[in-house]
Amino acid sequence: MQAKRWRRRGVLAVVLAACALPLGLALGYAALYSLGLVGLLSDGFTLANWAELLGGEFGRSIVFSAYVALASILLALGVALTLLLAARPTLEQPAVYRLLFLPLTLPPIVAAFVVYQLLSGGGVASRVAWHLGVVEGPGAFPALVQDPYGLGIILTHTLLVFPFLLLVLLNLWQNEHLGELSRVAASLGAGRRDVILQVQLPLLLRGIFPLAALYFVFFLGAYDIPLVLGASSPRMMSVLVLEKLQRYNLADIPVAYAMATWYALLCLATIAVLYTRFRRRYQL
Amino acid sequence: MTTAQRTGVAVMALVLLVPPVLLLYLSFSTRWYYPAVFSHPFTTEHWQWVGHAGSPLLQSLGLSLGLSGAVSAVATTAGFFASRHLAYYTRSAYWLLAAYFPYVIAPVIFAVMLNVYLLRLGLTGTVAGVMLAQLVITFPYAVLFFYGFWNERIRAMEHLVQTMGGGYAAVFRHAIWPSARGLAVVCFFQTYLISWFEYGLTQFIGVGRVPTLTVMVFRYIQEANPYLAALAGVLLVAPPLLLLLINRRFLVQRFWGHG
Repeated sequence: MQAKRWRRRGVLAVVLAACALPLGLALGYAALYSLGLVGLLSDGFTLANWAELLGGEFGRSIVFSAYVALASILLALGVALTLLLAARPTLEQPAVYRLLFLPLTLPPIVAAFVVYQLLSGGGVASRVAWHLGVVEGPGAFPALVQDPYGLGIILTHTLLVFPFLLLVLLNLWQNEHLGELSRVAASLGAGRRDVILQVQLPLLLRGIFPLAALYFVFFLGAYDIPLVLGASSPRMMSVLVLEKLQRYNLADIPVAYAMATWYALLCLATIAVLYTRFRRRYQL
Repeated sequence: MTTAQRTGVAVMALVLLVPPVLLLYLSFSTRWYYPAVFSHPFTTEHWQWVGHAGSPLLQSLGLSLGLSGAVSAVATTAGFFASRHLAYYTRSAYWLLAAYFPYVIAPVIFAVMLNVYLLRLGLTGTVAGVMLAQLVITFPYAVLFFYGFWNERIRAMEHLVQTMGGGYAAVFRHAIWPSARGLAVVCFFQTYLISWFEYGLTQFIGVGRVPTLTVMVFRYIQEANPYLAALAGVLLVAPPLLLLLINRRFLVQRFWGHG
């Protein structure tokens, strides 16, 4: 019995080590490096690298990443909800339903390449516009990729995610018996607008919120898509950290580690809050 | 259905169909200069080049298939048994939270922070290093995936086999595996796809010496060669598309991001 208990504890320790140890080691090293306590350039404890985050590039990058992540998830959710509420019976037809799975087969780097080929100055949209006489050349086509507003990144995120959100929403519609609930509300005198605003949207948004929040966190750290479709300034978090690390200026390395540390802490805090808040409701 | 609704669904279908069609179209194109849309030469030479023994893309395809297969096999097996221990022998929810952590941080940032250890182990720039780094993400995913499987019904079946004198092997064979087989296949393909789609972490830990298909796509983008980038893209999209045709459950995940 005692041996069995120790064996269980041993396995649990291995599980914990496999899940948490790499993160602990990684975060620990990055934090210590950024505080000047380890690494080739280590010169004793310093907060200078953290202080550098307060001004300029890091702040802009965090704000830009948050804006892109929020805009992406809101747009994807908006598109998914609009399609669901406007054309649900058609979406449930097998052929259309199957189509919604297509973007799940696209790796982000490939999706970014496709959007570049579609929306760049020399892309398909620009060529079609030239043939229609709308633009006179690649330079005259509006900048939809590698633009300062992150339009290309937001559109690609939306393309990849809205079908999955739509699949989840269709599932929620069934599980929450929204069809029946809507009919009950209508029979009690609620108009079409009230049914949508008072019955359908609250239940759908409540159900989709944790997934949307997770996507926000994922988009915050997106790398592949911003690498291809992002402008040189402002840059998304992951791209900025990698650029700082791979530059020839060695003084940038501790700053890059400081950025990575704070980004990781932000993610951990977000997921911890989400998890503790929604664990019971979603039986996580 | 109104005309507006029909148009909306048609636009959606078009948006979803354009990416794979464009990839295929570009992979057969050559000298696709502005402003041509269709009036340029088409060729099979890129595909013929891929078919030649020793072509870099063929090697990348083999490498990606092997790497993702190995990563998903290890992650699924380890995650399956680890999740059983977490479900049966722990009460605190924080154990499970620990499995969420590695999964939500951007893989490339994780790789940046983890690289020093892989460097010291001599694993940076090797297939083993990339595998290990990908396991850091896929293993917790598999743990989370299987956690819900270990419920009272499975436990009761395990007890039933045990009371009949069955050892762990018999419990696994008669009580666990028949119920878990379907989930294990789904988990295998989902972890396979996480590894298959991975670019940032693979490029950073592999320092360009582990040229998986995603790394090749970016390499061809940088070389301004849209034809080979599209071809590599087709090779990347084909296996998940095949999975979609076989069983769409392989693609849909309970909780995850596409990125």
